[in-house]
Amino acid sequence: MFCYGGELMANILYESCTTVLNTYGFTQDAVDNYLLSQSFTPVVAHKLVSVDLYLYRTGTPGNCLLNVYASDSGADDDKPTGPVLATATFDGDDVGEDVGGVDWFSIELAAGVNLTAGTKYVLVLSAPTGDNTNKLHWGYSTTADQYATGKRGFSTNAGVTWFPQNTHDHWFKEYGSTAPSASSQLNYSKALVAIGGNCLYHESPEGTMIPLADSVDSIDTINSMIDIVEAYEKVFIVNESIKKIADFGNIKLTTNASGIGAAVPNHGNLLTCAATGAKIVVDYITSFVDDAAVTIYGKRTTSTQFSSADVIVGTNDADAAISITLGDDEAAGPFWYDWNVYGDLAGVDTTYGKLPDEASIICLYRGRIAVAGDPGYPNQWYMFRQSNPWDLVVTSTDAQAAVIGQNSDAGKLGDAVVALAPYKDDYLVFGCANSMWLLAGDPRSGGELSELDLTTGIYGKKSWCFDSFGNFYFWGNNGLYKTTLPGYPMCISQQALPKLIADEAADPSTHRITLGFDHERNGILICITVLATGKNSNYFYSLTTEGFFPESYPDTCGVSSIFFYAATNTAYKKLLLGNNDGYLRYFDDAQKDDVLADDSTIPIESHVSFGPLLIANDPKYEGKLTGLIPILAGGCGGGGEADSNNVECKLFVADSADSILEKLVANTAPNFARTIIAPGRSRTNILRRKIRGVYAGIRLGNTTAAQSWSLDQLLIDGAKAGRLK
Amino acid sequence: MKLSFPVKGIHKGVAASSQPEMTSPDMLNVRPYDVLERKVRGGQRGGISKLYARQIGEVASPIVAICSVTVVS
Repeated sequence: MFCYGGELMANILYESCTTVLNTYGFTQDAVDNYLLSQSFTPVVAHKLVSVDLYLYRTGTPGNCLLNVYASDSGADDDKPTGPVLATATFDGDDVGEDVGGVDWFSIELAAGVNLTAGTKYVLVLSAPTGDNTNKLHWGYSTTADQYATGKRGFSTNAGVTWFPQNTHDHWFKEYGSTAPSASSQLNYSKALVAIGGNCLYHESPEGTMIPLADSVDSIDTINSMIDIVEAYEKVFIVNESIKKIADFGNIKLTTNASGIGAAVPNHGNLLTCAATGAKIVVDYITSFVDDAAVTIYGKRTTSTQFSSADVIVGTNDADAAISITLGDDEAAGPFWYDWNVYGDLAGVDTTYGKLPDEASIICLYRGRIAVAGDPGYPNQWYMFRQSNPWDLVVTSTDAQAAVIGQNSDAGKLGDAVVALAPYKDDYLVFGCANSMWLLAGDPRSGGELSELDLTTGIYGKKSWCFDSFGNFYFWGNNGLYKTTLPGYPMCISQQALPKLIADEAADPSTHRITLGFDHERNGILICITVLATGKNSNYFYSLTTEGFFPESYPDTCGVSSIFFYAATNTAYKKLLLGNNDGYLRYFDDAQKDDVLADDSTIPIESHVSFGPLLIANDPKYEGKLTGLIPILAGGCGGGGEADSNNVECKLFVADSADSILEKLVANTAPNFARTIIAPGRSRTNILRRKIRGVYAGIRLGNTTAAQSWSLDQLLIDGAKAGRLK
Repeated sequence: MKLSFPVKGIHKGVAASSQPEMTSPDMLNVRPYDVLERKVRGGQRGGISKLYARQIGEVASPIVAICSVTVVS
């Protein structure tokens, strides 16, 4: 999840508790299953590489373990959860003996682990072979919560249950490495965000999804339309009348009861604490009343933090002197709060415009947040000021000001906006109910809005994607369309699947159609899912072969969202499928079955039909099939080529091509059936029986668990057998 | 007669007697690239696996939106 440019620096002390030593806790796993823990919350993201613990030993505890875990949340806050993120084994016999030998003991974490700022982790100390006379003792404070963002804890049953202790903290120091501070070095983190079950989850640490606690049950993902977009280190959420922000980049300051003062800071103002030098760039303030605490969100640009009673000063856009006294220490995110326009005096809140009453479509284009989908004004789209998602004042006349618009020829009411599809900062496609429109450039500064297509609309807000060449694909009135931008959309499914729309019978009120570009397999995944049941019908459109390949997944794996996660760790850099059962999945070439929620598997029913084939090369004549040799992938003698599993082969013959089609689809009463033994070519697979008919069809398939197959070729021998009577 | 996998996918748009080359009138859960060697020779699609152990929302409810967020440290 983390990427650091340049060489890593030597170890730096990050979090620690080293004040007020009162007593010691001890480990003795082998006898009583006693384990010790200490949670901590990094203020700065870094790679944890070593830990110092304040220890002494009794006897010879032998090999001991220090593990690092993510912290659970809610009622289980400060308790370890999930997989071990980093581990170290050390010789407990090297620790100083008895209380007189107590000292800091350094433990290296060989692989280390990247830690996210503001996320809680848990150190767990154990002595697996220790007992009552051979154990480690870890010093801790019982006085006044010496380390505020973590707790000491213990387990008496080998970690099955944990008991964090309020105000108690083990003595620890954790060290890490981070990138040099040279301006040329970039230091950033990337995390996945997923929404379902009426809440938002985010990745923390890498590979683990956790809920953003305040988001639980504060959005409606079941009965209301919802859309999200990443911008400015945040995720903006529109959920009809609910509009929220998950803020991962800012810190939060709260003023004292005197409030914001006479000079209100503006978005982008720099505020400084004269006493400590701490600085913050103001992002957003909440609406306020006189003489009441106000919340300020912003990006701290110094390592020095803000504390309660700090006086922060600056100058606002009107050159007025800002002076604010803080009522609390700064708080670290992520935060969850209402999305509204920039704070102003409550009740007089018009300075920064007004968000639409409802919205369900959102995107980022040219630094502007764009929203649409207000049922009161379905034709309307709204774009916030560039670089300021808090300003929707459309009466300003500068080039960056907010814009409200619609898509139509002059004098006509615009078509209802269904999807917003930005392509870089160059184009924005407005997918509408019955038309497609293209905005080139900026709507305030030289941009041009024109019709992309007036003969088709788009199905839904996620029924589109781009490929790596910038081609735009969308599900429209007749199936799958493709176009360049600008360009002329062409229905590319019409020839191969002329009844696609009728066959799928997708209804926007019940079905979701989602498109995604699979970088790895160079194809477009099209998923049509009944949201209520997960029943699904899907297509993989190969950009390499320009063919459609129908697919089906278990109902619980019906796809309700698709996202290519450009994770910095390639283990997670995949096309992700958000499924109907609440799990995130991906196509796994090593997996031969589909994996369900409980980790059980269900075999994939796969088949392909060949034909109808003219046996005698002349439809006036019957033919005689004299040989059929299926050759499956893989060498016969082991070797480097991966081997196919067996397939079921069925042969159908008939006098008309349509009869063959019916038989192939019905998959009943074949003229011949046999299991083809893999891999490669085998004499036992050769069909030598003579079968007469005008047309033949061959069906290969597999429905067996833990099996997968691929084909090299089919060889067929046929001969003319006489005129059909 | 030598037949290769119909790598041009499903095709239902012409008379059955004129089925275009390299297409199939009926197929399911197969792709042109096989999962064994990633060769264009056709085969069963890969399985769908869970990438993250945790169920979003702790309930069997659709994941309706996904994105990533990048934060400068």
